[in-house]
Amino acid sequence: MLLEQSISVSAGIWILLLFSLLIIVSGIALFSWAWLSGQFDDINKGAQLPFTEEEPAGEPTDQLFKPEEETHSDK
Amino acid sequence: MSTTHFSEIDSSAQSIRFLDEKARNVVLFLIVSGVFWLLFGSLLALLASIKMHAPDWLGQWSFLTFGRVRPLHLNTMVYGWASMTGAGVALWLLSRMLRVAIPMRPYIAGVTVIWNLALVVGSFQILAGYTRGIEWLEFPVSTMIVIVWCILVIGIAAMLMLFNRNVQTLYVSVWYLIAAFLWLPLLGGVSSLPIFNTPTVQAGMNWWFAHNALGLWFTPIGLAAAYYFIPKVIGRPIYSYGLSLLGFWGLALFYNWNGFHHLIGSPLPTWFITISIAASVMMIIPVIVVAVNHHMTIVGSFSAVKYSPTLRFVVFAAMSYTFVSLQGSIQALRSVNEVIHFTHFVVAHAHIGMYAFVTMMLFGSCYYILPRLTNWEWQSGKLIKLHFWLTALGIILYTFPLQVGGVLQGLAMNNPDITFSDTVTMTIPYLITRSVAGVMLTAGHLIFAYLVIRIVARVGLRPAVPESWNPKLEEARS
Amino acid sequence: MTEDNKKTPEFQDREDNRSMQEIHSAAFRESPLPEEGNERGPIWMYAVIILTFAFGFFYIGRYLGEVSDRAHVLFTAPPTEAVEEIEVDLIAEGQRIYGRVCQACHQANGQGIAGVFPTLAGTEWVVEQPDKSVLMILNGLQGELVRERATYNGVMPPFARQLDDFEIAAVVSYIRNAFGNEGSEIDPDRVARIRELTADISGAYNPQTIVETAARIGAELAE
Repeated sequence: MLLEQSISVSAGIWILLLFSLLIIVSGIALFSWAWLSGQFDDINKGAQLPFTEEEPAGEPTDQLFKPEEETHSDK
Repeated sequence: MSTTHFSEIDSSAQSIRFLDEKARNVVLFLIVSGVFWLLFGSLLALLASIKMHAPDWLGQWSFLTFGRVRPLHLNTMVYGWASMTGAGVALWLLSRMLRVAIPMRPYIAGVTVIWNLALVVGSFQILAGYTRGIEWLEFPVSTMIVIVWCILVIGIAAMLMLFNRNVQTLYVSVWYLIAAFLWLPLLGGVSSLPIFNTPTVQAGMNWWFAHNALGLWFTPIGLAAAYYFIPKVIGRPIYSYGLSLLGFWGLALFYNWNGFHHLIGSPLPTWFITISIAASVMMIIPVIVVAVNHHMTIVGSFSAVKYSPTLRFVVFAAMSYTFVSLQGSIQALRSVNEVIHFTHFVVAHAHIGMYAFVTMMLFGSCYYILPRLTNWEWQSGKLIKLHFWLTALGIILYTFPLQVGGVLQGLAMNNPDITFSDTVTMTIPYLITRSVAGVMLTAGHLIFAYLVIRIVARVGLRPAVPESWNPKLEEARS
Repeated sequence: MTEDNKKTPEFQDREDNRSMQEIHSAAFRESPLPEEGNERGPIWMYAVIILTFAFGFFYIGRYLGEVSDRAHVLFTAPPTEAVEEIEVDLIAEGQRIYGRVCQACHQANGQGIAGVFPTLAGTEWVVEQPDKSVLMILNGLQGELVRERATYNGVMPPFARQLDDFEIAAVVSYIRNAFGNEGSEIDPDRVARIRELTADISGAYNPQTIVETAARIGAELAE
C-alpha cells in the first residue's frame, strides 16, 4: 500500500513537471516562429497597430465625461 | 497620416464598422451571459461573507451552508463572469487587431448556450453537495470538461482569425490572447485527468491549475485589453512596443511555475517549491516592464483618464495588476508565507487579482465595446461614475483592512500562547468590514447590469449627438 | 496631423474630441505628441531586472535541496544534543495541548457537559488510575458510562495519530494537576509502553473493555 502510494506520488509530480515544461517549450517555439517570420523586424510599426484610418493616433476616444461647457465653448 | 480618409470611408470587409457588426451577436451574448453570472456570483459572495461573521445565519438549509455557497461563488465568478465576458472581450479585440470578422459565429453562439447550461448544472451540483472538493475546480469533472470544451471551441475560432488575418504584424494584445486560448484548454484538460489521486500530488495539481488559470488565462486577457484600450483611448501609441513584447515573453516563461508557492510547508519535494518561489520573484521582471510601459503611456494624458469611463476602469485595473503582482512576489518568500499562509490576507490578495485587476479591466472594456456593438449610448454618465466609485472604493475597503487583519491573524497563529479560537474571533471586525464592502460592490454590479440591459435592449432615448460613435461614419454608410 | 484636423471644417470625429483638440491646441503646438513606440525605458528598470535575475539564481542555488521525488524536509539543521537537555515543563505543555484539543468538550474548567462529556475534576480514572486516561486518549471511548455521580453518553474520539507519547503524557499530567486534582506527572515512556501493549486494539473502547484492558496491561506494566 505504502509502496504503491509512493510510486504514484512520483508519477504525478513528473506529469505536472512535464506539462509545465510543455508550456515553456510552447512559449519558446512561438518565440522562434515569431522571430523567423519577421514579427520583430519593425518594432516601431507594432505600436501603431491599434490605430486605423477611421480612428487615427492623436485623437482621444471615449471621452464620455467631458463637461458640456468645455465641449461646446469653442463652437 | 492624412485626413482625407473621411471622404472615402472604408466600408470594406476590413473596416472597424463592418467588423463590429459581425462581432455584435456573439460578443453581446457572451458579455450579457457574463453579467448574469456576475450578479448571481455577487449574491453568493454576500451570503458567504456574512456567514463568516454570523455562522448560524441560514445554516438550517444544507444547500446554503458556507461549504457550498463559497465554492459556488468562486466558480460562477471565475467560469461564469470573468471567463465568459473575458472570452467576449478577447474575441472583439482579436477581430479588431487582426482585421478579420469573427468566424464560426453560429458555433460560438451554440457553445455559449452550452456553457451557460453547464454553469446552471454545475451550480445545482455544488449546492446539492456534489463537488470535487478542490479549490477552483469544485465543479464535477464532467461539468468542468464541458466548460473547457466550450472555451476550446472559442479558441479554435481565435486560431482561425489568426490564420486568416489581414495584417502581417501581430500586436502585443494578440500575443496575449492567442496564448491564453492555447493555455487554458491545456490547463483544464490536464487538471481533469484522473491521475492525481494521491493527496500530495492532487494539491500540487490544484495550485498549478488555480494559479495558472489566473496567470495564463485571466491575466493575458486583462493585459491584452490594457494594451489596446490605453493607447486607443488616449490616442497615443504605447510608450515602448519592444518592452511590451518583453513583458509578454517574461510572463510566458516565468508564470507557469508559480502555483506551487501555495504549498510551502507541504510534503512536495523541496526543489519543486524552491523553483516556484524563484519563478514567483522573477515575475517582477514582466510586471515592472508592463507597469513602466503603461505608466509612461498615460503620463501627460491624465485628462483623458478623467473623461473616459473606459480608461478610469482600465487604469485602476492596470495599477492593481502591478500592485497585486509585486505583492504576490513578496508573499511567495518562505519567511513572509510563514505569517500570511492560511489567513484572510490571501483571500484579500486573490480579490485584488480577480477583482481590482481582472473584473475592473472587463468593466472598462465593456464600457468601450458595448456602444460600438449596439450603436447606442450609455444612458447615464452619472450612473457610470457611481459604478466606478462604488466598485473602486468598495474593493479598497474590502482588501486593505482584510490584509491588515490577515497579518495580525497570521502573527497570532504563529504565537503558541494564543489559543486558536482567539485567532478566529480577532478577525471578526475585518470580516464585517468585508461584508459592508461586498454590499458596495454588489450595488455597483446592479448599476452596471442596469446600464448593460438598457444599452443592449436599446431602451431609452438615443442622444442626439452620439457620444462614443463617429456620426460621420454613419452618414457615409447610409 | 493635429493642425490639419483643425483646419478641416468637415472634420467631425466625435464631437467632444474635436473640441478637446481645439482647447488644448496650444499645448499640442508647444510639445507635439512624441513619436512613441520605440522607447528604451528608464535605467532603474534594467537595474531591477538584473537584480531580480541575480536574486532568482541565488535563491535556487541556496535552497534547491535534493532533486528527487523525496518529500520536503526543512532546511533547519537537525536538533543538537543541547536542545534535548533543556528541561520541558510537562504540565505547561499539557495545558497548551488541553486548550487546543480537549477544551472544546471538557471545557476550560474541566467540568465537561452534564450527560455528554464527563467531568475531569476529582475523577477516579484521572487521579487514581491515569492509565485509563491514556487508553482513552489513544483509542477513544464509546457507550454509556455510568459513574457514581452521573451518567454520560458521549463519544471520545481517538487521538493516537494526532498526539505523540510526549504530548499524551503532558496532557494527562496536566489534567492530574488542574481543576483541583493532585497527582504525579506521567512519564512519556510509560505512554509509549501502553501504546505498544495496545497496538493490536482497533476501534474505541467501551466502558467494559477499557476496564479489562487496563487490568491486562496493568499486570504487564508492573513487571
